[in-house]
Order: sequence, then structure tokens, then C-alpha cells
Amino acid sequence: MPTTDRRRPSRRAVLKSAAAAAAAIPFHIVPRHCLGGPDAPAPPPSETVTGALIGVGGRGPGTFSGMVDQFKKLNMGVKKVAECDVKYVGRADDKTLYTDFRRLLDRDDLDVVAIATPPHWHGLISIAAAQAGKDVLCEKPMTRTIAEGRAVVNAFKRYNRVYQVGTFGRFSVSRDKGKIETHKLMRSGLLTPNPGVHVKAGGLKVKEWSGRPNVRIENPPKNLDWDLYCGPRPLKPFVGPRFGQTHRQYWDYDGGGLSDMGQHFTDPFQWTYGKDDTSPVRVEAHAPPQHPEVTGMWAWVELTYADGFTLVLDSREWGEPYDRKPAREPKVGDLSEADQKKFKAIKDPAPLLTFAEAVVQRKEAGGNAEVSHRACTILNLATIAIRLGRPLTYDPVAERFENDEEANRLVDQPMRAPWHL
Amino acid sequence: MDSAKLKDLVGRMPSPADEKETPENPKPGPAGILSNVDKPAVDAALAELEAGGPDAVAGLCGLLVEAKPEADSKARHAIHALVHRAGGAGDAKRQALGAALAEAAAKDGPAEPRAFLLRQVELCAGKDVAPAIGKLLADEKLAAAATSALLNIREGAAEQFRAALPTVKGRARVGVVQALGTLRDAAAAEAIRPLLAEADADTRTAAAWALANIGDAGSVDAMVKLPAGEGAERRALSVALVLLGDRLTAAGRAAEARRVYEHVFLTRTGEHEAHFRAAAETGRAAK
Repeated sequence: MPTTDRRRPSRRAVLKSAAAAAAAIPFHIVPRHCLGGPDAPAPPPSETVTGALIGVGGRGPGTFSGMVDQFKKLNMGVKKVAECDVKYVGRADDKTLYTDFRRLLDRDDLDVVAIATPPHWHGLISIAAAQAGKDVLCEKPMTRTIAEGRAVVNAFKRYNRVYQVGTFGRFSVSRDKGKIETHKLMRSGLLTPNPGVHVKAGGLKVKEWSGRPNVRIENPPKNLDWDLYCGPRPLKPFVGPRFGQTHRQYWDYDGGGLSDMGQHFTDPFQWTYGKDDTSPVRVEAHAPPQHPEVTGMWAWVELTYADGFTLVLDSREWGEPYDRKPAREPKVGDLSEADQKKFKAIKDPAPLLTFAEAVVQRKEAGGNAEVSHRACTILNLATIAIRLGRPLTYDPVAERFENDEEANRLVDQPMRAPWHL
Repeated sequence: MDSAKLKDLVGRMPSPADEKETPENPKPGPAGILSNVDKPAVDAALAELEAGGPDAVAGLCGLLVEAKPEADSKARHAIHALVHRAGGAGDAKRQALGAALAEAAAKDGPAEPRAFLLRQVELCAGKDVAPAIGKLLADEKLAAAATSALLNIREGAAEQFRAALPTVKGRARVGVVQALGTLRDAAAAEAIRPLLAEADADTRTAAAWALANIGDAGSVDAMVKLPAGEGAERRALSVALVLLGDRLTAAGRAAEARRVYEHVFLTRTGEHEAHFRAAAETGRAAK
């Protein structure tokens, strides 16, 4: 099949040539325009990417400006050409303001998309953006279900697009000497069985994002496309808290504080403890029976990996604190003398690329789809365990629970037409 | 179980709390959430409801009120909690509860509570309820919930969707077509293929995706001859073609896959379609 394309260089071609130029330069010599600083020239139009924001409330503006800051560090600009929100009924012109993300993605002048909708849309819009040839920065939690996460990974791989989740703690830990040592120890394969127990206590906003079950039904606001807001989830009667920041309180759209805040923790946790390519094999929670609509209280979730390493999420907001296993960091001293010598020979991992760097270089970002999916899977496993109220065994390769049909029905939840994975 | 006993047990489900700052509660949570839950007491009430068997389940379903959370939130909480308890008690108990809930969902009445029951059926029911749920595909207000329930039940679902396809309309039909694609039901391909020419764009794109996900070699000719279209529909068709190529490759049908990939490469010539051409190239190169 022919592969040449003689059309005039596109913006994407310019980005590719910037990447090629970067690749041709020895790593210790950095072009002046990449250094930034007060003397750096303003980025020329050829070093500006065009972006759009889907989901303009709450985090949206911050998500987009965070993306802009990343490109600024490369002395590149981001020009926002469009916004999309389901509350733009009556305002949308399908030129700069949209209610339907599919119309926005029709634009062929768009390079990058920032997604800050509620989580039940994160997977589908990320996939649609990849299928439209765009790179994506998507807010956390990455997806509402495990199956959606895997579908995002597959789409970005298939269409060779760049993905980054909107949490950046792994970048900090990947530069911390102590965390690097732990990372190398955990990745070395020398520490088996792994006696480590890491406890994350508090900070998960359980009460703050618990829902009120008795809110009265009302008519949706006139400027809101309620059907499109519900999207893949059931179309239910409107109650005010289902829309806006309080969407976090509804299982239909999110998983309470655990899902909302958890990926800020699980993402750097995974990097530090070398678990980016796997998931826990056993999960158990202590929680009261959960309401079908609104998220609620829980005490703790214990997640155990195949090598024995344990992660505990301890809410400290309900019930007794976790007391099954004491917290214990894995240490180089846990290794035999012979293995400690082997450990010393292990090199430090390569630095992680930011979203902007990944877009320019056409490589994987530090918080790419696969590692983000694994980080989010921890949260999805935890919420399933909280909801089902029994110990569960999980196969991290098949990404299915073992011997629990009901749990598997929460892994891949059917979507309302016309939406599908 | 008599209604007084039933109501007493339902009354023991968690109540929204009115949190106030006290020495024991120096950081009160928001008012109205289920923060003060006595788990042993709730578990005991649920155990009694469980012991009440199908009668108790029917009684709980009878407490549901259309679109009035303040009136039946505890009854819904109890039903949902029983579903999760049954889920851990083995297939027989899980499916028995699913059958009881499906029976209640099938009865005439307001749609919203029945849709709630179908969402519970989605979690626990087995193939025995598929025919009863299949009948609900024709009900415009319940079709979406019935579709989701059947998709999760999986066994016996494809027959129901195939049977409904000739008669369901509108969004329900899109849902049925998609469901057959999700189930990768090869037997449905012949019935879906004519929908590629439907007037409704959602139906056309659903049909293209479904045939692609099924990996239907018999649809290659029809798919590559489709007008490429514009905008989101063009993109959806391009995605479907790449998916079809991938499914055919996985099934060992290399010649048909190559034809699909080459069609994508040669027709998706827009500057903004380079990723489709690249996907077609990598698909063709994959072994």
C-alpha cells in the first residue's frame, strides 16, 4: 500500500518533525527554545497545538490550564479552540461551544483534548477522541469500570495516540531517591514472598462525597441535556445532586470519595511499589450494606497482590480502624546478602515523560493508559468489594473475578444505547 | 411475612443522619447522608428479610413508589442489599432471587420502579428469566433496562434480541442491534446487514459496529461498499471497518481482513485520518 502523502505539512506533521529534531539531538544538548525562561522567544504558530475542553464545570478549567502549563515548559503554546458541556443547551453554536462531544471531535484542527466530565463519561470520550486522532489528558478516576479502562488502553494502542490521566504524583515519586530504591526493590523480583504492608489512612473524603438518598425529584434545568449527561448510564429522574460536583455521590457516575480522590494516591503508589503491570488478586472490605443509588460509608479495604504485598485503604471515617496487619515497608535489608549485591547492580528507571513531552515525541506519557488503568483498577476493585460485602479473588491477567458471577457483572456494566464500548 | 413485620424490618435500614458538632463528633459530616449505620443491626434485619423468602421479596417490591425517593428509599436499599447477599450465597440462591425480582418487574405498573427492579435482575438473575425480560424489549420505557439485564444474564439473551429485532423501534432497536454486536451473535448478522442502509444514522452506525464486532465475513462486501459519509458517522464507520479487519484477522480470515484494511487505507485520505491509515497498515502487517 502506498505510504507517501504529498499534502502541505499539517500541524501534526510539524509536531512529528519537532519530535524527529529532538530525537536527532544528543540528549545532553537541549535546543534553546525548549529551555523556556525569560529570554525564550514566544512560541511561533508552528509550535502551538490546538486544544479543546470537554466538561467545563468544576475541574475543567484547571485541567485545561494544567495542560497549557505543561506545553509552556517546552516553550509551546496551546490554543483553545472549543469547549463542550451538556449544560450548553441554548448556547452551543457547534463552532466554539458544543453540547455533544462527537460534534467537537469532528474538528480536524484539533490536536489535544482535555476531559473533565464526570467519570461515567471518561472512558467513552477518551476512546472517541483516540478514534478521532486526538491525544488526551483525562481527569481521574480514569474510568468508572474495569472494562472501560481496558477498552481505553486498547483504543490508544490501536490508534497510537497519547494518553495521560489527570494526576501527577508518580512524576514526583519517580524523582525521589527513597522511592526509586523501593521501586527497584519491588521490580527486582528478588523479594518474594513480599512482607510489605502499605496503609493509606484517611484523606479519601468518604463523608464529604457520601450521597443523600432522600432528595426529591425535580425537573432538570432547561440548559442541561439530561439524557446526554446520563449517557451510558440509566436515564433516571433528575435530582439536583446528580449534576455538578456532587455527581461523586452517585454509583451511576462515580464511586464517592474513594474513586474521586483515590487515584491521586494509587497512581504514585503503583509506581513506588512496582505494581504498574498488575492488580491485586484478593480484595476484602469492611462496610455496611450499600445503598443502590448513593455512595456511603466504609471502614477499610484490604487488597493483596500475588507476591504477598498488601495495600490497605483505611477510611478512618466509619467503624473501627484496620488492625489485621501492621504497616511495614519492604526494605533492601529484607534481601539476603547475595540478593543485596544483585540489587545494587540494578539501574535507576528512565525518567517519565509529561503529557506535553509525550505528545511532541510521540511516545508514552508517564501516566499512560495502561498504568492509569491499573491504578484505577485498585479503586474499582475496592468499590466492588465495598458494595458486595464479601472477600473476592481476582485474576489480574484475565481481569475477571474468580467464582463470583455478580462481581463480574460489575466489571463490565452494560451501557445504554447508543453508547457502547 | 405480614406487612407490619415487613415494614418494621425495612424501617431498620439505615436512616439519613443529621450530623451535629459534638465532642464525640468534632467534624460532622454533611446532613442527610447515611453516616450513622449500625451494621450488625442492619445485617440482622436483612437476614430476617432473607429468611422471609419469595413472600418477603414480593412484599418489598410492593413498597416501591414511582419516582419518590423520600418514600421508598429504605425498601430499595433492602432489595439491593438482598441482591448482594444472594450474590455470595451460590448460583441457586442468586438466580432464585433474580427470578422473583424478574417476576415483579414483569407485572404491569409504573415504569420507573420496574426499571429499578430490572437493574437488580441485571446483577443476579440467570437464563431462566430471559424470555420474560425479552418481552419487555418491546416496552419503550423499559427497553433500555431490559437490554442491560439481558446482556448481563448473557445465556439465552441473544435469542431474545433476535426475536425482538424485527419489531422494536427507535432507540430500543439501536440497543437491540448493539446488544447482538456485544454478544457477537453470528446468527444475527444476516438480519442486521440490511440495517446498514437504514435512514436513521444511529441505527446504521450500530449495525456497522455490530457486524464488525461479530467479525462477520459475509458483511465485508456490504461494509466496504458503504458511502464513507461525513463527520462522526464517517469516523464511526472507519472504526467499525478497522474493528472488522481485526476480528477477521483474529479468526484467521486473512484475505477478507486485507480487503477491509486496504479499503480503509485507500479511502480514508483526509489529513486528519492518518491514524486510520496507520491502523490499517498495522492491521495488515499483524500476524
